[in-house]
Amino acid sequence: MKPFIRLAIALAAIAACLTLATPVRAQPSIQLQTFPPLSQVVPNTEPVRIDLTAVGANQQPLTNAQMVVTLMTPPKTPFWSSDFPIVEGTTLLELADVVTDGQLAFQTFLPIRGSYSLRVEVAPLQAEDFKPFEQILTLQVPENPIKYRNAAILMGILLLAGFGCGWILGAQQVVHPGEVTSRPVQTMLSVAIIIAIAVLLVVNISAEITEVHQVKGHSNTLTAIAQQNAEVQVEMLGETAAVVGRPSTQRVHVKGNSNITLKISAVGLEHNQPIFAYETAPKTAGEFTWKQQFFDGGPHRVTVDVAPARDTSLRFEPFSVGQEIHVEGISPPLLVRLIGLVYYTSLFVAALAAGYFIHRRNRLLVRC
Amino acid sequence: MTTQSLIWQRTQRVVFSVPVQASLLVSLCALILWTLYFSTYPPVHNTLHETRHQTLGVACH
Repeated sequence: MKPFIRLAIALAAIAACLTLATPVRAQPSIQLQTFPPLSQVVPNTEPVRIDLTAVGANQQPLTNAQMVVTLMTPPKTPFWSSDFPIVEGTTLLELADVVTDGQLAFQTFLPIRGSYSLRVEVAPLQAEDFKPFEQILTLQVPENPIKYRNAAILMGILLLAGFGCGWILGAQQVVHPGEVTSRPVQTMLSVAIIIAIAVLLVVNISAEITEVHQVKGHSNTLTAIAQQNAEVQVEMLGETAAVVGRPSTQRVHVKGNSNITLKISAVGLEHNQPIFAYETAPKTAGEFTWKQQFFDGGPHRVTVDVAPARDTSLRFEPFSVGQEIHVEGISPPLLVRLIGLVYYTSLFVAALAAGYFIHRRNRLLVRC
Repeated sequence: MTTQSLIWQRTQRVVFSVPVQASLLVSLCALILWTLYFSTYPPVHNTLHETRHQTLGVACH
């Protein structure tokens, strides 16, 4: 063997040894778990629990860290809109808290399908503990299967109606004396008018009935905005008016003993739907602030249940503070609604054209 | 035949021609779809709120 080949083999062997001997240093990262698993999440039906664990290079949870979580909704899709187009491409939640065990868990509602972006920033409380880092996680939420079923039913109706109308129009138009159009066309137009009248009647009568039920079903449960006992005073200081599409700042002010737990929950009052829940223990008396978007226009309530911390001798009767938030709904953009209308109307047009041309061709073939 | 009856006959021919009939049907279909699924008129929207949220491609709020 030539000397330079031997040298090359020796160098390659040394390089291989060095590569194998050098341990691959794992980077600090965020571990994500959701309940239910993301593949089973049905948007706009139930809250999802999101568990985040910050682990260091040794894959052990990072203790005493500040975690900042920002949850963004999927990007805008004007040509195939979700049911909440105003919510697309906006911030759903911003939460910052100190975690002693590297874990942060919260429940949130995921209103639409698509790819959510969850940015997690982790910083040490003591600068020398570890290097701050951030990670962006993606939460892929599938579409609600009921939507496919309902769309299929609607498309079926449109295709059948369109084809039927086209079939009648494609027939030979025999106009009887004294009449302006053929009998089938007259029947078809009459049926179309009856359908239009029936639809408008059903819609208007249902609207009246719904209005009556809403007035009767209105509840008026009030919780104090501020409460106190000998040990602690808790007060809600957040915004009481919000707009769909923009995060609203919510704030809980705590005075006195800090050995307490705060169970925060936000509920949509129209359907009594929990949309956010988080439990925290304020490390020092002060404020706990978070930003959340109320994605459904209507009244909401933010409640904070205050209780003594589990690992303390502090004793007092748990109490709640809360406030109602009026959320202004924003109508979907006209263009987005028109695009949806064009899709469904196009199906009717296509079926109409198919019915007309198929019947006309059959008629001409029979005549030949 | 008077001019008036001529105009009336021509109007009838146009109104009952296949393209106009097809256009009327498509307009009626679009109007019903708009009312049910896309109108922001509060009574209609409130009545069909759940249906709108559960149909693909329908935007609501």
